[in-house]
Formats: sequence, structure tokens, C-alpha cells
Amino acid sequence: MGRVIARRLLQAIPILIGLSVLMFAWVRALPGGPAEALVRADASAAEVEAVRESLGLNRPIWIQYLAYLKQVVQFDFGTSLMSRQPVRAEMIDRFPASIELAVSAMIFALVIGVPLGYYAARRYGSALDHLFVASSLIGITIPVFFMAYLLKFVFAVQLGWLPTTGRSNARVESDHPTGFYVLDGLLTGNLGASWDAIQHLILPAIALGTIPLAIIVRMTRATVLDVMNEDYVRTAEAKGLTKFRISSRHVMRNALIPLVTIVGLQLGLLMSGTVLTETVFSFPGVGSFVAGALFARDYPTIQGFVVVIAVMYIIVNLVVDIAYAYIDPRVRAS
Amino acid sequence: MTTAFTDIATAQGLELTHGEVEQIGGGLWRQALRRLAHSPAAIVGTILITCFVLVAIFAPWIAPYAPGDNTWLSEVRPGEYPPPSAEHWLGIDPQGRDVFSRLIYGTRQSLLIGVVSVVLGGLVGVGLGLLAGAFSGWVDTTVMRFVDILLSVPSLLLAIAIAAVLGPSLTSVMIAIAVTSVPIFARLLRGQMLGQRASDYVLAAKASGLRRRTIVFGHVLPNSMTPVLVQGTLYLSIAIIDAAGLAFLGLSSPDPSTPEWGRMLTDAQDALATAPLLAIAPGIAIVLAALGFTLLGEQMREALDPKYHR
Repeated sequence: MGRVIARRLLQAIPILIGLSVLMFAWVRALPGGPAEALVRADASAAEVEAVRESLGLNRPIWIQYLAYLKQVVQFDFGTSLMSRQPVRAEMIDRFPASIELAVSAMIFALVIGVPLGYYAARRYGSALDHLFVASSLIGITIPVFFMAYLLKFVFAVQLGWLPTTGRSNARVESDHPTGFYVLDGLLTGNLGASWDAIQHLILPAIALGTIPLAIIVRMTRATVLDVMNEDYVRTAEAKGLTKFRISSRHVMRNALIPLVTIVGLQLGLLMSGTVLTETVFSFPGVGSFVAGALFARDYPTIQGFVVVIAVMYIIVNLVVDIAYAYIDPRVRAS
Repeated sequence: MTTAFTDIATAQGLELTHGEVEQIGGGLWRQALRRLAHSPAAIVGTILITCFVLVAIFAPWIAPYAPGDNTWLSEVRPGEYPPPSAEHWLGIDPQGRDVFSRLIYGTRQSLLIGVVSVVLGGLVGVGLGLLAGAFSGWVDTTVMRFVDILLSVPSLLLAIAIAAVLGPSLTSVMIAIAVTSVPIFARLLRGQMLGQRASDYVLAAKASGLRRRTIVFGHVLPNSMTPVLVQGTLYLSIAIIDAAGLAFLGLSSPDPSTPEWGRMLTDAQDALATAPLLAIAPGIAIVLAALGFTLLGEQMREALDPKYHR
């Protein structure tokens, strides 16, 4: 197990270095030049010079790269052109909201997707199976923000069941020690605040979770179908085990292993998907902030977001691979 | 397509007729086409794609008005748009233009973005995959590490970063989407080529003294391209959806007169409560186009994969 972790950690190093080189090149390719792009249009010559100095633009390229690497390791991406606050502070403020949203979307996708996929496999070839497969295809092809519009229009605007925008109702009093509003309500014993936060999360989470839901339904269906044809399942049936025991102990335990990979991959994709969903629901996370940054050409913010999400994506995949080896002895043995 | 058998046979002074070659191998595509013709999903996908292609080609004859014609601006009041009528099937947008005509012309942009980005990404990806698959050793390692780095960034994020540097335009959207597809094509082709290289016919071709270039371009590459073509079809769907997402983020053409589905959907968000059709129409067009390519691509994959026919 230790060897698996060590090997996987070593593999991540060249990728992280490669990523930093790409981002270094990205900053240098910014329109108008790196220093000019990273300050406001009305910045004074002294401000441009300060950024030029921090990037080390007058020094050899490899020193510039090392200076850049030092900044990135410290998550120092400069000052947001929109808010005039350090990008790092903006990110820290807004990350809990986006993580809460991405995790909610994943919970929605798993809770609905796994049973539907399992059911479709057990009823293979039935009308319901076809219905689930067709719906999952449509789920994959609906643009996230279109889904978000539709949900908002039907359930928030027309029916008025759920809030249209934001993360919490201003009239609901609450404290936020962690920044994760649902958790904060539970920690402070304010269940009303938790419920309010959940209500604000439902529509964005469903919109964001549609694609992982569709993928999880298809994946679960395919793996359950595979596992159901395995010899050990036939043996379990021949032994006279109950249906429940066969499905819980033999089929699902094996069928769910590939889901670990899907969950890991999708969590990273969900974080980048928040750019679209959060914008539709004016959800105050990193995603909506970066969407604003794209319109304002706020390059320090865009850079911070790309680096942080990419590093998160690499780390999540690393953890998933290690977890995979832990769960599945066959991977460890190979 | 020549096969290793014909080249080996020629090298050994034998003459094989086309029929004999066909009996030994080949016929994969013909069998696949037969299976596709019997698959309802593939037929639906093909019909959808054909419809969109025809609409794109004959847009000026199908659309009742020009996409930028804003003759009806005087009929638009703030927050109030004329409903669908016999003259304007899908109503009029906030800029006083016929939505149906813009939807028809928008087909051109969406298909163009999809095809150009997939062809561009496919060419570069196939080039890289070919390098890695044909040469092992440091070339393979270098190319694959580069591919791993590109894959380590979520595709939407990569597209956003590239489009942000290039500035908002249709071209940057195409380049951004193309770059996100490069690692997928490269990895797929390399994997296929490695599989082919280990097969007996390549060994036979090597043993009969064929040059590496002939083996790679004449045999390994043509036999490895099928999954790449399937992936290309599937990626067209992703390209159309991602292009809409980039348009939503203001990274597509800055010219508001360009009729583009993603842009139409974005511009209609304020009118959702009063004129939902303005957003629903382009939204459905995106879903149907993406669905067409996904259905056909997935059925192609099943029809061409021997695993499904055991």
C-alpha cells in the first residue's frame, strides 16, 4: 500500500511542474503584456512597475519562472482588479460556498443515480430501463446553465417553491464560523439557518448535478450488468443466499468500485462547472466571482481560479487512485 | 485500405485478389453499417444530424428573414416581447429580430464551431498520438507527459483559460475547444496503436522486411483510426455544449448580431419570465444537436466493437 501511495505521489510531481510551466506561459501570453494585464487599466506607471518587479520581468526567464513558482506555492495571485482585494482572500471567502454546492450536487447525483442505475440493470431491456437510459442521454446533452435556467424558471419564478438567488435569506439570523452554511447552522444549533441554506442549495445542486447523475446512472447500470454475470454471483445464487444478501454483499460491493473514480473525476469537473451554475443563481461562490472576472478581464482572479481548481483536481485524483487501491485488492496486487 | 496481408504477399511475390483479402479480414465497417441500419438510436441520431446539416446549408432559403433584420424593434417594449405569431413562429427578441430566423442561421455557427474544433483538435491529437504510438522511448514519454498535463486541468477550465487569453471571438472558442480535445484523441490513438503493434500481422510485416513508415502509415494507423472517428463524433456533441457555455461566459463573438445558440440563450435570460420561448428554443436546438451526435457516436462505438457481439 505504501508503495502505491509513493508511486502515485511521484507521478503527480511532473504534472504539477508541467502545469506551473503552462500557467507561467499563460501569464506571459496575456493580451498587452503580463504586467499591464495584471493591473487595472487606470493603474499608474509605478503600479505597473511594481508588478513588473514582482514578476521579475527584467531578469532571465528561469529566474522569472522561479519567482512565479514561489508566488504560486504561496497562493499569491496578486490583487483582484474588480474588488481591489487580494485574490487569495477572495478565494478563501468564497470557496466554502462552492465546495458546499459541488458536494451537494454530488450527493444528489449519487443518491438518485445509484438506485436508478441498479434498478435499470435489474430490469434490463424493460421499458423503464430504456426510459432511464434515454433520460440519462438527455441529461448529458443539456447545457448546465440551460438546465439551471429551466429549474429557476419553473420552481423559483413560476411555482415560488424555492428561492431564486443567493445562499441565504437575509432575514434568517445566523453565524458562520466555518463558511459552510448548512454545517454552521448545525454547529450553532440554529436548524432554521441550516434549512434556509439547504433550500438555497437545492436548485443549483440539481442543475450542477445533472451531468454526474446521468453518468452515474449509466455507469452503475453497466457495472451491475457486468457483475451480475460473474461466476461468484451465480455461486451465491446456487448457495441459496437471499436476493438482498446477493445484491448487497456480492453485486453492489463490486459494482460500486468504479464509482469511486467517477466521483473523484466529477468533483473536479463540478468545481469548474460552478462558473456556469453559480452565475445563473447569483450564488456567491468562487464560480460566480470568476464569471464576473471573465467579463471584467480580471486576469489575476482568473489565474488564481485556474491554478487552485487544477491543483485540487490533481489532488482529488491522487486521493481517488489511492482509495481505489485500498478498496480493491486487485489494483494493489497489480 | 490495403492490409498487411497484401503488402506481405506482394513482398513475397504473391498476388492476392481483393476478394481473398476481404475473406481473411476486413469488412468491419460494412458489418458495422449493417448493425447501425438496424439500430433505432443510430437512425434517430442520423436523422437529427442530417436535418441540422440541411438546415445549415439551406438556411437562407428556410429562414423567413435575415438574422440581423431588426425591423420589428418598435414592437418591443422593455420586459414585453411580441408573442409567437404566423409571421414570427418563435416571436421577436429584445433587439426586435425574428427568433426563428436567428435559430436557423445559428445552426451554421454551432455546426461550424463543432466541426472546426473537432477537426483541429483531432488533427493535433492524432499527430501527437501517432508520434507516441510510432516511436516508443523518450518521444512517447515526452508526448504522454504533455498529454497528462493537459488532462490534469478540467476541460471547461482549460477552455476558459485559453479563450480568456485569446480574447472573445468565435475563433478563440474553436481553438479553446480544440485544445481540450487534443489529449483525448492523442491518448486514444496511442493506446490503439500500442495494441495493434503487439498483434501478429505487424510482427509478420516486420519479419517480411517492411519499413517502419510503411507499417505505421499503411497498417497500424488505418487499423487504429476507428475509435478516433467514434470519439470525434461524440466530441462534436461536447464541442456544441461547451461552445454554448463559453458564449454564456461572454467569451464567444463580441458582435451581438452574430446568430449563435449559446449567445441567444444567454441574451434571453432576462426575458425568461415574460417570453420563455426565447431561451427554450435555442436550448432545445443545442440539446437536439448534441443528442444527434451522441446517439450516432455511441451506436457507432457499439457497432464497431467486437466485445458487443460475442
